[in-house]
Amino acid sequence: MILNVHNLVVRHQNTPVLEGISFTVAAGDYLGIVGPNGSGKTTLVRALLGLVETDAGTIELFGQPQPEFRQWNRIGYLPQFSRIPTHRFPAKVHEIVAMGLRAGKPFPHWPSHNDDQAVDLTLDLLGIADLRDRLIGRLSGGQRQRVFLARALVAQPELLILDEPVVALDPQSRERFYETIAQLNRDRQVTILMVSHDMATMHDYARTLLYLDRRVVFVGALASFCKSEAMQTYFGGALQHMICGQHHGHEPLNPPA
Amino acid sequence: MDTNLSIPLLDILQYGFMQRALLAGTFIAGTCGVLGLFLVLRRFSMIGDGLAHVSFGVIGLALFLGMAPLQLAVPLVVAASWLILWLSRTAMHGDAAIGILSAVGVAVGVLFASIGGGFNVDLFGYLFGDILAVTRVETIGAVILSLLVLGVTILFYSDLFAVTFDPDNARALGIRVPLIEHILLVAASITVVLGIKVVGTMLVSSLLVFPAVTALQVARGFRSALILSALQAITSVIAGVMAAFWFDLPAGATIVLINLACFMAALALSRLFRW
Repeated sequence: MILNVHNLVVRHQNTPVLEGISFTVAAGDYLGIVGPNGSGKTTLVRALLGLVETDAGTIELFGQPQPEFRQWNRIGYLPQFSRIPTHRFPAKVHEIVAMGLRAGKPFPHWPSHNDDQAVDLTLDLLGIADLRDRLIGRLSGGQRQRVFLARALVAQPELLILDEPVVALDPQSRERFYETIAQLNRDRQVTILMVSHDMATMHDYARTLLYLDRRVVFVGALASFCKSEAMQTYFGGALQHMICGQHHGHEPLNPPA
Repeated sequence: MDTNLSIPLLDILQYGFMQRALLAGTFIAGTCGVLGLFLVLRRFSMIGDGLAHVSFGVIGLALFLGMAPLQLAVPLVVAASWLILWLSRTAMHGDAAIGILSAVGVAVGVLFASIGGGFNVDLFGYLFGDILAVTRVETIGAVILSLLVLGVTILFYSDLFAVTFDPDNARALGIRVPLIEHILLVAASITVVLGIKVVGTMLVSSLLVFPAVTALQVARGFRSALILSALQAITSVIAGVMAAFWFDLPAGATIVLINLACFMAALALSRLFRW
């Protein structure tokens, strides 16, 4: 298992945000984490990366306890919003992507010729080699998100964690983005952990689903999601009518907020 | 208006005080230009102002105690910068923490100046800078400290760049963001203390902010922005020192106004060519 979460508890000012979360992720899996607003999806991802304090439980990354984990080059992370500090930030695309090579490297990290090659290969892989020398502040939301995906991929991670990466993208760019991620999972065996609001898309791409609502409501193979007793209880009749029953690959399958 | 325009440039460069002013000024300005870019992009612009006001208090205290002001200023200003960081994480927003420390710094300075018999020439020099009066020891100290700050910046370049761009993502890359922020603030504190000799506590933040925002108007890449910012700061200090000598003007104020002119020119260029 490359990720093992056991009984994780996160509180914010004594209010529980995550309660007793347990799940595992095997190498090569595509796990979709779904749930309503405020269900703790982003907090879970940030806890995995050590970006928020946890109150109880354990997280193991590649067999190591998370607080001791240092091989951050094995994990790529794409956050929810492609934030840049200011549109005047003077960094070029290749400078931003090269940032991803800092992960897991000893201090001090000096950029090398190999770094340049890795950056160019990653830009080629994502079909954005023409953006190499463009300023990050001059790109569209979709282009920027692909650049940040390149930054997450440049160190050739084994696990890619994406937190609602398509919120700022138009439908066409979303589809292209999801296809790229599926291709990485299929062709390069990159393990995917994708947080999403979009149940329909997760239905199309993920192999395993984790339905979160501060606690784990369901975790398991996609095929058993609609038959799950826990989900029947959680959604009642809406499960068949709104989520599972109408799904033919075209209808939106979003859970009630 | 008295001028020294009749004195040839080569003769000017033979004056010991001009050599020291230009040497110390070049190194300090280069450091301000480099550090300023990180501070401006990290939205720490005002910390230069806050630390300069703290320096004023420390200098007032040092003059009152008969100690060397800049030697006392470095450790106390570093401590103040860490206090600002700690307050901004635990008790209030960063700008409020800077406001509090600024006010305390000025109050302490005024208090000690008053107890010590009012504002004297020394304190006035630290308020508005006196680069033409920089001593040999101060010049050597400025060069060494500038090289130290620039060396640390080069050593931590990748980490500083990542933290400046997105601290959250930097943490996910395994970078120890609090350590990098502390290092940035130590470097900023030393730079502010050095800059006091050039433009004074009242104007030192301008030497951190102006070159950076000027470079941001025209730069095409992070490294080119760093180089442009440093070059602009150095140019403004050299031009300011020369103008101060030729036209008998206060060097600090002249440097700031040259920086303003450079910024306006860069802004106009960026608008004109839609950079």
